[in-house]
Amino acid sequence: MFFSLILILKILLIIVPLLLSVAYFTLAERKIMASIQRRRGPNVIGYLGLLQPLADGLKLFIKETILPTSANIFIFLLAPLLTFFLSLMGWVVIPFGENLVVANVNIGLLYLFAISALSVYGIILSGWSSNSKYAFLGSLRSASQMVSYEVSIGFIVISVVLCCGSFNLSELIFSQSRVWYCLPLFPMFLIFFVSALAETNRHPFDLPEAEAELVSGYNVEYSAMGFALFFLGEYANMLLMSSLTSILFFGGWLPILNIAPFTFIPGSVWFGAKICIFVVLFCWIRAALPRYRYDQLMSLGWKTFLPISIGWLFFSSSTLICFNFLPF
Amino acid sequence: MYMILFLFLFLIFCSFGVISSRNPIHSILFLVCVFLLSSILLFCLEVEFLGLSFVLIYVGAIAILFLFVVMMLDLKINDKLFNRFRYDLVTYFLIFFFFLELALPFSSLNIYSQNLHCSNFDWINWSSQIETFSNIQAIGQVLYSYYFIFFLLAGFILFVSIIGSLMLTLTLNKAVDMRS
Repeated sequence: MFFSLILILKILLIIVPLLLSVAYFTLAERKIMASIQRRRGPNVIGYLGLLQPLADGLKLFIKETILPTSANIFIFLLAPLLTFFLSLMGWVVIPFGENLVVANVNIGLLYLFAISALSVYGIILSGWSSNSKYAFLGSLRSASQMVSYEVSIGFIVISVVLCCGSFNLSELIFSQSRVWYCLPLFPMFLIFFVSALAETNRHPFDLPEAEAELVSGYNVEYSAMGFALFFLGEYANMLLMSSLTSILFFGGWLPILNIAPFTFIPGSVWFGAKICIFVVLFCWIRAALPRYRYDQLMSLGWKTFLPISIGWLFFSSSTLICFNFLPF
Repeated sequence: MYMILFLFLFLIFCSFGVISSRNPIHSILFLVCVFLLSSILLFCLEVEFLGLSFVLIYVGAIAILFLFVVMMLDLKINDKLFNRFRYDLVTYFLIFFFFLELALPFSSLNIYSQNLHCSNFDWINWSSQIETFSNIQAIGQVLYSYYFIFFLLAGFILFVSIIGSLMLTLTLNKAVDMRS
């Protein structure tokens, strides 16, 4: 009884701050984009517009839920729930600080990878079940985009794991205590970040957002809470990807230098700061870059990133073997 | 204990759903359920690595390809075909035999049943038997030493399939487009 109570408390302590940070991620995005475009952004509700995400949530919550005629109702309702739950499930293995993790599993990285592979289903099912040509084609587009970028992400993750010798995320961070992997594996960091943009259906690869030319994407038929769940899931996935980037390449909770003024700051603050940098980068890229065409996106994934990441895997493994650097 | 029995029942229900649902999309979704439940079963046996690779490979890649193909084909559900060949009778007949085969080790007819001790669902803690290794290390040590020839063979089979799919998309003869 006591054990399960503690477990529920742990889960709530992750989910509630996560949802709050998702809400303020949307506000941060609007504010950053506004300042890049020399506007004010939302500034009416609350002090400096700080209550804007709550107002948006309320608006979505009290809207009418529309079920399309001859849609497959069960799958139609299941798909946003699936997306939302899967975006929350990944957070269970993320270490927020030293020993500050819900499940310190041995194969955490594989678990994250499996979760991101499953999240394709939410998109594909929502497109099929809403019984609309636009939603269906949009879902096929997004799903094939996610699947094709997952392959290169997998190879990059393998080359990182080769350097560390473990799938455990905490051990991955401990192994970066001398040097963060963004220095020796810098090209892989760039490719990983771009693939993370494509994996989360984000600018400049955000074909589901292309309302004018492609009639949005898999979520055209959704309204009210269904749409809100997709939205929350998407932003939680973005946060998960930025935290994964900071764990794989920027040493998670480790400070910049392991000397006195930096070590006074607690590890979770460092981790949060690193996530914030990537969040700002996500927003900045959205404001700055034009959208890719679909065939350009696919050829970038299959003909550029995949060969480079496979080549880098061969290169790094042979380097490790040559200099006897293998960690096991 | 009861959780595992419930898991078994749900697994059997889902595999019935694969063969008995009329809509092909539904049967693929049931298939995905079967894969997920069997990976949970592997988790219960503490073979986490195999369970996760099941999810990654079968659910994350192969079932999605199935879904893609079935969604894009224009499938009309043909009840006449089902009725003419009496598919359902044949399948239930086969299922009966498979169940008989599964039930045989547990029954008293089997002479080895004394040695098996399967009747009380006594799960073996595999990872505690190999104490110092993690799951992945144990598999790697066996796969790359005793069974390396099978590992290489599996790689060759995948390579052949890659070449086959490349051949399908090549246009050697300009007059005949193989892709159409």
